Amino acid sequence: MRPPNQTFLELTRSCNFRCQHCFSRAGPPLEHELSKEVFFDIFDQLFELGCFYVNITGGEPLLREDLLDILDYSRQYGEAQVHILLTNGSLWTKEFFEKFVQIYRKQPLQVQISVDGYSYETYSAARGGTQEDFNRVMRTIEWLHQVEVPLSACFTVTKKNINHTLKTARWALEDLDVDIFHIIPLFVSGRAIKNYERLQFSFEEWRALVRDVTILKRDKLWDGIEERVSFGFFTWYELVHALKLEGLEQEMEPIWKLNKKEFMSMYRKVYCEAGITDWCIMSNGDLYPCVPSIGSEFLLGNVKETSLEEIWENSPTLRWFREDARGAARKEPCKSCEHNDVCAGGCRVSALILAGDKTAPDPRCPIVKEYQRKHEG
Amino acid sequence: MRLFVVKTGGRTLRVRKEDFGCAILDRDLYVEGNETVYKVLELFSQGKTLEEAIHILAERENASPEEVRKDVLSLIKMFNDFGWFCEFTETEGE
Repeated sequence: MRPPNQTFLELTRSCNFRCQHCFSRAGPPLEHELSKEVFFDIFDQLFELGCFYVNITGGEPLLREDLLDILDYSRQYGEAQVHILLTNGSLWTKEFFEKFVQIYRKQPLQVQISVDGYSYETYSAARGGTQEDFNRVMRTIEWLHQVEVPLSACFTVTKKNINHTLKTARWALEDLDVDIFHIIPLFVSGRAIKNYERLQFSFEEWRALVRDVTILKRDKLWDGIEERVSFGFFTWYELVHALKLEGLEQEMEPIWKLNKKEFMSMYRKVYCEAGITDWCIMSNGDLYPCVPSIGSEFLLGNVKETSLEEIWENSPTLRWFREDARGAARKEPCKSCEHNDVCAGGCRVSALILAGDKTAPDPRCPIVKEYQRKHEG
Repeated sequence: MRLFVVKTGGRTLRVRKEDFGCAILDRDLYVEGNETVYKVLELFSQGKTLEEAIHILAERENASPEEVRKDVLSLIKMFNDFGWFCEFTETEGE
């Protein structure tokens, strides 16, 4: 069995923002959050397991008073592993930054800052916060540039901001000079469940965005900087079906580096990453198969009681994701769908939350929606 | 130790031991290799030159250096397609 490629390691659930789209309903801290010593042990275990990427996240990690101690400890593994600190950037002080730089000099790590708009108005529409918060985020980015920290921006697409995705991307790449601009779709988990109806874009809006970014990259419309725009997809259909409807299927490999045959023979049997390449460790030690599943019934165990290796290799829930989760692919319309072999029915968390059945075809998929409209009224 | 690093041409390859050989991460590129790939990368990670690696592998496998050289050079050619270890090919050609 291959070990995890990527771990999302939540240091605290505590956050100074209350983003409407937050995957984890961050705000107050969880009860019984782990001590720094337990996090040290988690870093040891993740290295022994052979995990390539560790995303050090929250909530807002800077709300942990011992964050610098944890980062300092983790640097011993920071060459063999890729460590990325995910932060909203609003709580960085000069004092914190200077200490961060000392640790960074030992062994670099990457920083990702959430940037959901190109101005205070567009940014705060998603995240809240004050003009001063926004200014502090900009200041943090400036500081990080001074010491050449590899820096990416993350933009979560919602119905409210989908129309300014590309404007924000260009602003972040040109004006903020971030190395990578990640676009990820809203997901139905955490606080986003409550706000789902208001925030969920239509598939037509989504496919237009996929089309625009694909053409932007194919035709090099921004003089090369468009290469630094990346897209995250939770399911196969989000990219491939959108491309097909737009007549851009042929761009899957040259632009999005996805070769179906190669992908399936080497990386994952199905597109879903849950428990196959990825997993999440919460600040109280609970583990989940993927970010969207945080807080769901797909709890894998707790790191205080069981080793990471034991959970990864023997969790019944992970076994279900790896071996039995294809149940949806045996149901219509997935059974007859051309994407069946890789998509395998889409996302199990989406099926659980929106359809109340973890084995249902993904209710967000436009093919599933059309089938249900025709057959189920 | 399951993870180690190999540096080539300004790039850092992260290599993980697997039952089938190894997994290799180069920035966002993920590829997998067999046991021979693993053995060669492990020797490079220890700072061995191409000739040293060939010599060590021949000894370990109780094989002729010429046979091993052929296999390793064919691997290096594959690595070159990813932009890795071109320094070895350039040296060989000189």
